[in-house]
Amino acid sequence: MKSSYCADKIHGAYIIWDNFSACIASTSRLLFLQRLHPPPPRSTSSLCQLTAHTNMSMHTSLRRTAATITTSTTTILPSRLPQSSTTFICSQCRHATLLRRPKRPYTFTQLITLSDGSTFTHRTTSPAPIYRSTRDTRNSVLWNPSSSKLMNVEDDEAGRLAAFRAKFGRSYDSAAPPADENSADAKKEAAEAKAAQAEEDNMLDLISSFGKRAPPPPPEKKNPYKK
Amino acid sequence: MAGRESSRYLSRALPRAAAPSIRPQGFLLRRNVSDEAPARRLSDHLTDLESTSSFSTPVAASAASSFDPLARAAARKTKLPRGRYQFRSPKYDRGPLHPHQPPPESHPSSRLFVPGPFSSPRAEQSYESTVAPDIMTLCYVHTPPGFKPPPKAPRLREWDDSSPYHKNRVLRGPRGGDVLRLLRKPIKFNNIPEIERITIHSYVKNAAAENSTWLHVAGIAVQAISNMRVETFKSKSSVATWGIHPGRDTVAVKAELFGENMYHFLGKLVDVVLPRIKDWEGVKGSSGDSSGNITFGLEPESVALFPEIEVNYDMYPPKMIPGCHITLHTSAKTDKDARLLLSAMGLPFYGKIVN
Repeated sequence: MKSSYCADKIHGAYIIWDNFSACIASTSRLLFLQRLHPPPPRSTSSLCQLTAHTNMSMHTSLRRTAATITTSTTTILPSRLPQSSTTFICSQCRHATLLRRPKRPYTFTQLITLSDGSTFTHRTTSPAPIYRSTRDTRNSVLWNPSSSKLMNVEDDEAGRLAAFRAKFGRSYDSAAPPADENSADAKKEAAEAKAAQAEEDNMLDLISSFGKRAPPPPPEKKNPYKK
Repeated sequence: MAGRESSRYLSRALPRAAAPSIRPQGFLLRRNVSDEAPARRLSDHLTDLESTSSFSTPVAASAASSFDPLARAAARKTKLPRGRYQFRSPKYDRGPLHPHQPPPESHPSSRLFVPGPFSSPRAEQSYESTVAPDIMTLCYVHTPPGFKPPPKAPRLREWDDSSPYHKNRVLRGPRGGDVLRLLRKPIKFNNIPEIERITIHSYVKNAAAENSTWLHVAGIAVQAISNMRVETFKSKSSVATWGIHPGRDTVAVKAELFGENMYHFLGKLVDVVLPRIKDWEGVKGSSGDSSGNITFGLEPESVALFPEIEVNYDMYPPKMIPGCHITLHTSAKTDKDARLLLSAMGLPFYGKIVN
């Protein structure tokens, strides 16, 4: 045991303890001394008084612990001891706690329409019955990283933007087309290869599209240089 | 509440037939020394017993005929007051020793009862139908039959007994830091990570320096986006530049979302709000507390994008809409699993992923 401040007075009024282990030890010592010098007729009630003293000196509210239960006095028969040691800690609080009813904000059911037309309902504090979103996971690039529709890619099939840039563009603009385009030979070769590829594609298309309807015309492109 | 059992003394002392309780009284097996006087013997108890059964004694005819509850109810001119038909929970919790105990929180007559859930949120449905089986499949690790994993080193290191002072010393923590990480078990059908709760927290620094309007606005804004009443908190630490003293200034509001509310909030956040944030890259990959809880913050402008705030944006005083921190608490044991779950639920992550 640690050397804790222990001041006992057996038949006196005050008992001071520093910590709980000291309390147990001194209680047992007290009982031991009691056995050595049996006081004039004393029963369980006197023991209770003693334990009450201990409680008072601990400066807590009523607290039943193992110390009060591990008692063995001569008045109680040994056969009548049901529990050897039970730790029953009961810290009593005397106030009554108000059981507050939980407050919940009123919620409405709202239909959310996403930008692609899909809908779902959710509970919300907003009173608007329908919420139409213009920007959501269906048309945001972060959620559709592979979607070419959402990418900021310039449509320039006729090559007009490139031609404009080559003529009037600054250095950072005109750097976009490849450097070997200027050489006439490379240009011719590329054109020939392209034509051959196109012819082959045409033939393949003709074969595969036999008996099918004609494909719909391509949508109009937004080209600022086109009327 | 520590002990909710009703008193064994009072339950004996008071006749409880008059006030039927909802909870059945536990069968009391414990005897005390003080219950019985030491002088009393077994034979004394036997003399207390009646020699004849109560069933054999005839009931008085008048008592049987007078008992007609239906007729009594029909003869009554007015209805009984409402309280006579309905059990009402006590208004106060008077402690575990009081004979009149409030019913459990889950009982509809309890004052703390919160009804619900009323709907099955979309995010929850997608979790149950798609995300959970996917995660279980992704995390499956096949071991051939008869495979035994190699024994792992103990998490707490023992002391080598080089010194006699090592005896009975507490074990050492792991190498390279004192933090004992959570133990990750292989993910099976019964421990698929799921979102447990979402915390929305908002620290309003102007609440201390200026007036409480900031706190009221923050509370209402957080309540609007979360469908929950918020709690307020006082500052724990001192921030001299903002004039905040610990324990004096109420500076923060918090809402904790569980179950239905949580999934409604998550769906709304992911589907509607986050895509509208300008130049938002995603949740930072290094966020998380390394035990499966991921936090990210929203700027005041982003909080204003919630449909509930947008619908009456003018009602909020200008510039007073708060930013907030949103913590997603998952049952995953590592951040890696938590990120797997949250990215499957639609939350993008960016940057260096730190697990």
